[in-house]
Amino acid sequence: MSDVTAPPVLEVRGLSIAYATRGGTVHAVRDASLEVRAGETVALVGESGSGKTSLAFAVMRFLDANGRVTAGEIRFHGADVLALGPAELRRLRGARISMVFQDPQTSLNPVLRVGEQVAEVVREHLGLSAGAARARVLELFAQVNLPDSASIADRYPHELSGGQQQRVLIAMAFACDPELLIMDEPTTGLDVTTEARILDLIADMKARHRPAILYITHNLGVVARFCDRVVVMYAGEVVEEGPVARVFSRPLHPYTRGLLTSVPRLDWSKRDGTLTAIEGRLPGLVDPPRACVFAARCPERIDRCLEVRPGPEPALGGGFARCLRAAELADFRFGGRRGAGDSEPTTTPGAALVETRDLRCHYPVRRTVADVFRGAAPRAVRAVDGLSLDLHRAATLAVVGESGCGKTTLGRAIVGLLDPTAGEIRVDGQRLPGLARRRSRELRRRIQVIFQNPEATLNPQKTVGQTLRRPLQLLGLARGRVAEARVLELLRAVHLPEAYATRYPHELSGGEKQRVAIARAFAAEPDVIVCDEPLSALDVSVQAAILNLLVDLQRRSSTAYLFISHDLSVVRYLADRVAVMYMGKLCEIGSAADLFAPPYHPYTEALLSAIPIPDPAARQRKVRLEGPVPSPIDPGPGCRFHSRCPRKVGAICEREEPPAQEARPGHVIHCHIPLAELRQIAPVVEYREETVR
Amino acid sequence: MSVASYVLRRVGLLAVTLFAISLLISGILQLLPGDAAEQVLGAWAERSGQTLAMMRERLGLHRPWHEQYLGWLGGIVRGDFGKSLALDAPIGPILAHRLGYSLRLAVPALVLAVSLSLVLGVLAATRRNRVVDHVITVFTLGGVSVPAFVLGSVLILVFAGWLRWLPSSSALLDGSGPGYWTKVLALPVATLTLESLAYITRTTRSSMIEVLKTPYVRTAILKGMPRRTVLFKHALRNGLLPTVTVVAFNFGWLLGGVVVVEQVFSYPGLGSLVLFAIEQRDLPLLQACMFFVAGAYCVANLFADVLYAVLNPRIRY
Amino acid sequence: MAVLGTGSGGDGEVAMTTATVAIGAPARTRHRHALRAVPFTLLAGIAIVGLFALLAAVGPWVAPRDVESHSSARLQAPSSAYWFGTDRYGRDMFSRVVVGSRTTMTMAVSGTLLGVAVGLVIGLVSGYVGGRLDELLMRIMDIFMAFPSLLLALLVVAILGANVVNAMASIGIVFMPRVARVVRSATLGIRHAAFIEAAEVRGEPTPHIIFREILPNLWPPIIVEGSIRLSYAVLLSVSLSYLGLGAQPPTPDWGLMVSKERAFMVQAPWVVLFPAGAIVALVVGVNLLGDGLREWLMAWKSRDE
Repeated sequence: MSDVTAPPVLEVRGLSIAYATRGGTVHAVRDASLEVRAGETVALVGESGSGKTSLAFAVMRFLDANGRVTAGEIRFHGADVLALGPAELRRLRGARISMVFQDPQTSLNPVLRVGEQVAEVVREHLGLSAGAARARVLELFAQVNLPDSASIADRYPHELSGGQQQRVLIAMAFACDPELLIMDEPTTGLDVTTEARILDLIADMKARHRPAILYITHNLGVVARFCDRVVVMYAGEVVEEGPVARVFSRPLHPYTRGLLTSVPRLDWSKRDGTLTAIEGRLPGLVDPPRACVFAARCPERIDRCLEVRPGPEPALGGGFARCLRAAELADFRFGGRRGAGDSEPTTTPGAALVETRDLRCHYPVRRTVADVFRGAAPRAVRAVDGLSLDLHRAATLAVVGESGCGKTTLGRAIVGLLDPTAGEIRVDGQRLPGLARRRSRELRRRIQVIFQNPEATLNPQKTVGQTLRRPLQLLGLARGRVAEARVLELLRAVHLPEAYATRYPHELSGGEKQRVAIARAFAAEPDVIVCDEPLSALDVSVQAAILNLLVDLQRRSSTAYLFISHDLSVVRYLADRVAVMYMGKLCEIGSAADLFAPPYHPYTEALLSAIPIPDPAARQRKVRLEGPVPSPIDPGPGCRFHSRCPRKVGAICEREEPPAQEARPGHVIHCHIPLAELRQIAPVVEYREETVR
Repeated sequence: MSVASYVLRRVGLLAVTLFAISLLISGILQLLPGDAAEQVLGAWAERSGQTLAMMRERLGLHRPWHEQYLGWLGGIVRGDFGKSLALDAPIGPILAHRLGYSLRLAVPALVLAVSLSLVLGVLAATRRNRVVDHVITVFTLGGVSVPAFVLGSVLILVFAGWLRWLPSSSALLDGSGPGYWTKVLALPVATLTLESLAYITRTTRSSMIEVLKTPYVRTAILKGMPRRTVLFKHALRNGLLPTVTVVAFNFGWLLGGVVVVEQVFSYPGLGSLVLFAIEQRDLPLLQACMFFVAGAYCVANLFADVLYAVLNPRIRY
Repeated sequence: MAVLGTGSGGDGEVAMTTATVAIGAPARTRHRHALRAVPFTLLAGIAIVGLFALLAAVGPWVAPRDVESHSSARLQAPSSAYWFGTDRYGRDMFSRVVVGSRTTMTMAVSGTLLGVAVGLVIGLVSGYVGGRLDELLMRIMDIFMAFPSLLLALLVVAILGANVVNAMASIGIVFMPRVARVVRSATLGIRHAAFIEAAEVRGEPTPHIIFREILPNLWPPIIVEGSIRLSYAVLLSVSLSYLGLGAQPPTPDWGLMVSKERAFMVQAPWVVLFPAGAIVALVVGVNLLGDGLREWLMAWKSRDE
C-alpha cells in the first residue's frame, strides 16, 4: 500500500513536548518519531497519559497555551510545519491536514446548523460559491450515509444522534480531500453497534479518498480492523512500532504484550485462567525515568533496564521496539492456553438469591402546555419494562446492552436508588422495599454497589480510611480498634498498601480509587454487589487487574455479582450467565458459553459482530444495524428490536410480543424466528487456531 | 414546541409571577407593627385617636385583609393604582409621568452600556493577559467598586463644580429641546452607564474566555477558519448567551441605580418617587411603585429569556 | 434555565462564577503547595479587607479625636492637625472615616453571613431533596428575586424602619434567594455523584448526606459566592445609608457622610472624597479578595487533574 520511495506525507522526528504547570514542567512527549506515507493508515496507540493526543495536536500546531515543542521537527511533505506563519497554517488546516475529534457533541458548534459548519470549510478553502458549497455538503453527507442529507444539513447538532454528529465531523474532515487526516479517538464514547458502523464508514471513505491517516486510539481492536502500521506510545515515548500483522503476532515490547493480553478474548472465561495485567502506575512526567520508561512496571525487567535507555531494536517483520531484551524474549502467547473448561453448568441449582419479577421502571415525561390543551395522555420512558431475572449465590449475572437499554436502571432499582413502577424484587424470596432508606439495615448490608466513574466514587473530602470505616459503623459491623483492623484487612484484600488508609482520593490513580470502591462494597460483607460498568472508565491495562481482583474476591467470599456492562469481552470473561437487554426488554439470556455461540438472538448477533477484536487473524462476520434507535417513550406492541432487526420476519414482529424460546435449559431467546432457523446461523466470531500462538 | 408557544408559556408564567408579587407586597405590608394607619401617621397616631380612625377608614383597613387585597388587585387590573395620600392624587398618571422621565435616563444608559461592554468584553477576552486586557480589567474592577452615588458626586464635583460645563442638578426642568436634555441627562446617564458597563464587560469577558476554550472553537480553528470568523461567527454568539442573562439582571441593578442616581441629581423619575413614598409613609404610593418596578423587571427578564431562546437553538424545544 | 422564567434572570452572573470553581478540594494535605500558589490579587484583597476589619475592631480607640463632638474649626482643609480636614460641624474627618469602618463592615459582613447562612440551608435542602419541596422553595426564591436588589432592600427597610440592624436584615433577605440558587445548583452538580449514591445505598440519614457528604465539597463555591456577595453588601449598605435608610446621624457612616456633606462638596471636596475613597478602597479590596479566591480555588482544581 505504501510507496517507500516517495517522501512521507507526515514525518515527526525526535519530537518533545513540555507543558508548564504549577507542579513543574511536564514532559508529555519525549523524542518521539513517526512517519505516515501516502495512502497509509498509521495507528498511534497508547493509554491515558501516553502523550498521543499532544503529539497529534502538535502536528496541527495547536497546543495548549502552556505547552510547547521543546525539540524535534514536524514535516508535512518535507516542509517544516513548526516554521509556518499564521496564514500558511490556516491554508493547511482543514484543507490539506484535517482532523476528526473524539467528542462529536462538543466539537460541533451548538448554535450553527451542521450544513453550514461543513459548507464554510469548502467556501473558505476551495473558494466555492454558496450554492456550490451547499451541493458539496449534500454530496459529502450522502457519502457519509446521512439519510435525507438536505434535511440533516439544516439541523442543529443537538438534533442529531451521536453517530450522526460523528458522521458530520467526518464529512467536514473529508470536505477538501485532505492529504493527511488525523483522527483522535473518533469512536470513543459511541455505542458498539454505532462504533462498528462509523469504522466501516472510515474504511469506506479511506478507500474512496485515499488520504494518509494518523489514527489515535487506545483500543487495539479498532487498530486491527483497518490500520497498516502501529506506533505504540507509553508515558510520552514511542516504545514500539511496526506493521499491524507483525505487532499483533509478534509484539516485542513487554508493554505492547501487556496491552494485547489484558483484553480478554471472546473465547476466554475466568475458568481458563487469570488475565495478564500490567501492575503499578504510570511514572511521573515531571521527572520521567532516564532509563527504560516502562521498567518499573515490566514483568521482564532485568537490572540493566533501570540503568540504560534502550535504543530501537529492529524487529523481524518490520519496525522496532525500545527494549533491551527484545531479541531474547520468548514467543508471544495470547494470554495462555485456550481452556477446555467451557463445559460449565448452564443453571446453578438451588433457589435464586435475587429475583426480579416483571420489574418495570418508567420515567414520566413532562407534558408540555400544548399536550395539556390537547388532552394527551401522560407518557413515560419505559427504561425497564417487564424484566424477570434470577441471580444465584456466588454467581455472576451480566446484563449487557447499549446505552438506553435499561441496564443501569435495573441496577439502580436493585440497590434502592429508585422506586420501581411495578413488579417486584425479592431477596431470598422476601420482597424488597423500593428505596434503600425504606429497607432494613440487614437488607442494605446484603446489597452493595460499585459505580462506573472512579473520579466520583469517593468523597474527595474523606480519607480512604474514613470511607471504609463508615459502612462498618453505620451497618453495625465493627467499631473502634476492630474497625481499624478491618479497614487494613480490606485494603490488603484489594491489594493496596495499608498506608493508603490516610490518603485522600486525589492522591490515588483511577484504578486505585476503583479498588477502594470495591473494598467499600465488600466492607459490608454483602451477598450481592451490583457492579455498574466498573471498568469502562479505566485503561485496559488497569481493567485486567480489576477483573482479576473481582474474580478472586468472588471466589473467596461467595458474593454474587450483577455485572452491568457494554463490553462483551469483559462479560464473556467474568460472567456465568448473561442477559442481553434492548430498550427495557430482555432479548436473550443464557450461560456465557451459550450466548457467544449460535443460536443467537439477532441483536446479540449484531453486538458480537460489532466488537473490535484485537487480532487481525480473527474472522468476524459482518452484521450491521441500520436505522436509528427508536424512541423509548411508549414504544408500540411487538418486538422492540423490529425496526432495526436485520432478520425481521414480517408484520408479526411489529404486532406481537416475541415468544420466549428455550434453546437449551437456561438459554432463552425472545424472538419470532423459529429456533431451528436460529440454529442454522453461522458463528459470528471465529478465532483461527494459528492465532493461538 | 414553536417559538410562539414558548413565548406564550413564558407570558403565562409572567402572569403567575406578577400575581405572586402582588401577594407578597400586600402581605409584607400586613407585617407592619401596628397597622398601616399607625405607620402612615407615625407619632401622630398616639396623640389623636380620631385621626387614626379616619386614616383607617381612608386606607380601607376596616375591611378584612383579603378584601383589601382583592380590591387593590382588581384596581390594578383595571389600571387604577389607587390614590396617593401625600399627593392627594390618583397614582396611575403620576407613575406614567415619572416613568417617562426614568426611561429617558435608563434607556440611553442601557443601550450605551450594552454596546460598549460587548466591544470591551470581546476585546479583553481575545487579548487575554495583554495590556488591553489588563487596562480593561482594572477599569472594570474600578467600575464595580464605585457605588453610583460616589461616581455621581465625583462627576458633579468635576463637571459642575470645577469645570462648570454642566448643571449639578436636574431640579429646574422647565427648559426644552435636545440641547437642554443633553445637558441635563449627560451626567446621570454617564453615571448609570459606567455602573452597568463594568458588570456586563466582566461577564462578556469571562464567558468569551470560556467559549474560546471550547472544543467547537478548536474545531473552527483547526478547519482553517480565519480569526474573525472564529471570533464573530463561532464564539460570539455562544459567548453572548450569559451576557443576555446578565443584561436582564443588570436591568434590575439599573432600576436600583436609577433610585440612587435620581436622588444624586435630584431628577424627578420613578426612583425619587419611591423614596418620596418611603419618606412620606405614603403606603398606597409605595405599594404601587414597588409593584410597577417589580413588574417591569419581570418583563425585562421575559424579554431576556425569549432572546436567549432565539439565540440558543437548544432551548426552544 | 427555566424556572418560573421571569425570576431566572439574576442567575446568569452567579451561575457563571460557580461554574468555574472547584468542587471538592480537600484543604489539609495541601498547605505546602497552597502557600506558594497564592495569587497576588488574593494577598492584596486580604491586606485591604484586613485593614478595614482592624479599623472596624479598634477604630474608636485609635481615632485621634471624638467623632461626634463639634468644634469651631469648620470645613478645614486637610492639614497635619486634621489629616482629612473637618466637616461643617468642625468634626475630624479622619476620625470619622476610621470609625465609620465599623458601621459599614458590620452591616455588610453580618448581612452577608445572614444571607449566606439561610440561603445555604435552603439551597442544600432544595437541591438534595428535590421534587415538590424544591419546586416550592425555588418558586418562593423566584418571587424574592423578582425585585431588583436595592428596591427589595428599600422595601424591607421602609417597613421595618431605617436603622443599621434592619439594613443588615434587608441585605440578608436580598441575598438569601441568590445564595440559595447558587448552592442549589452546586448541590445538583454532585447530587448524583457516585459517592452520594453510595451513601444512599448504605442508608445514610438525610442530614448526614447533606451536611457530611455534600456540604464539605461545596465550601469552595460557597466561599467564592460569599466574597462576591460581600462586595454587593458593602455597596448596598453604603447606598442605603446614603439614601438615609441605613445608619442614622450622627453615626459616622461613609454613605451618610457623602450624603450629608454633599452640599459643601465644591468648596470643601475632602468632606466627600475621603469617605468616598474609603468606600471604593474597601469594595476594591473585597473584589480583589473574591477574584483571588476564585483563581486560587481553581488552581487547586487544575492541580488535581
